[in-house]
Amino acid sequence: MSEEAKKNFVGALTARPTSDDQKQAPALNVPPKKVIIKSADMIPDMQKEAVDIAVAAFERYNVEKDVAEQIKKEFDKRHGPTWHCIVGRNFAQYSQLAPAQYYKVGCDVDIQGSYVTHETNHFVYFYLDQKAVLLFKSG
Amino acid sequence: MAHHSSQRRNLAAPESNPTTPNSNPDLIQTYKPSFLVKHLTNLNLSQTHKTRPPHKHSPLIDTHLQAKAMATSAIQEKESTVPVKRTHKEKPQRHCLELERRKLGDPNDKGMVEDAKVVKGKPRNPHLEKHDVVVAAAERMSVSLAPGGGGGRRRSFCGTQADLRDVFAINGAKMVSVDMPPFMQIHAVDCARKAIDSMEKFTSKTLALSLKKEFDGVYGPAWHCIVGTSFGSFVTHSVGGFLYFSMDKKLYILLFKTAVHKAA
Repeated sequence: MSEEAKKNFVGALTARPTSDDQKQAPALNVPPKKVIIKSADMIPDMQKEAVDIAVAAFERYNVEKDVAEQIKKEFDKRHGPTWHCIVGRNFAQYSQLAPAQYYKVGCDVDIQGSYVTHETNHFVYFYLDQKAVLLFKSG
Repeated sequence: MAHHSSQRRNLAAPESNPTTPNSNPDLIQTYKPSFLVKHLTNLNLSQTHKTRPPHKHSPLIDTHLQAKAMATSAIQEKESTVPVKRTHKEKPQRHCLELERRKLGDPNDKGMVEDAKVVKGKPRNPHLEKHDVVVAAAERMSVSLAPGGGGGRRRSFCGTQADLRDVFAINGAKMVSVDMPPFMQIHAVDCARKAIDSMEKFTSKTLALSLKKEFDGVYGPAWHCIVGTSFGSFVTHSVGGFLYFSMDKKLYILLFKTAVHKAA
């Protein structure tokens, strides 16, 4: 309850906080890996957490599917279900903005608010060397 | 070369397993949608109605067919792994069923009303997340399974299978992993083909947008679509709301549905 209250509060403050900043985060490992956050709608601590988990997963696994699995499971565990993760070099995804936009147009205020709240602050899209990682929460 | 052969294995390995169970139900619904895509929902309902003139019996047909699909998909519903470079598939089943509170409509209503209710998100069944037709399945499963199970299933199998193959062959599509009724599969492939053909310059994002909006509009939110040539993913999806297929041998499309919860 208190966590949800906090989420609602944070959600209320940020109307449409999706940013397109191209930030370059500091290198994390001895062999420095280039991290570029292409788009983020997530608190900085969680972003860093996502990057750290992704770096660890890439070191451990070679298959994109396994990396995606590792990241999603870790976030499901730490921040509750339901997260989705896509990892790869070539893909496009349309999920984050459309639902919010859609709900603004067509749904009850109650649903609109709760849905946007869920989506808000739970989306990150970043590059790790040549790979792109998309992580978001829905449902 | 290695990458290409790997992809081939990926295409071949999971194709047979998930396709067979899902091809059993919805022979009637599968037939019409292959010709008239844009009126899928209405035609499905009208077809069901024609088969059984009494309105009370209409949900019985859908109930039975969907029930089989639901039973099959129970194993896959929790998490779906989408292998792009590996043949091996993992399906951990630790997560609970997703709950959907406000996306179910009354199965007895007509198509248009049904769509309206689904889009507006009125509450129907807070326990299980499933397509509105399946709600009736849960209520009448014990009754509807007995009468027409065996015969109906056998008769519909070949027809459904052949129809699916025809549609996929025409559009150059191959199903890699499926947890979705056949008519929705056909809808997705047709929609994707039309979107690709209508683009002057192809972009994965535009195709993803087109598919997601189409499915959000017809089957209710919230759908997610990922399109690309090289990606791996790990997602949790609703029952009967997952489709991963390839087109033109190199483009892969992932389409899945998730629940929409109230924050409170």
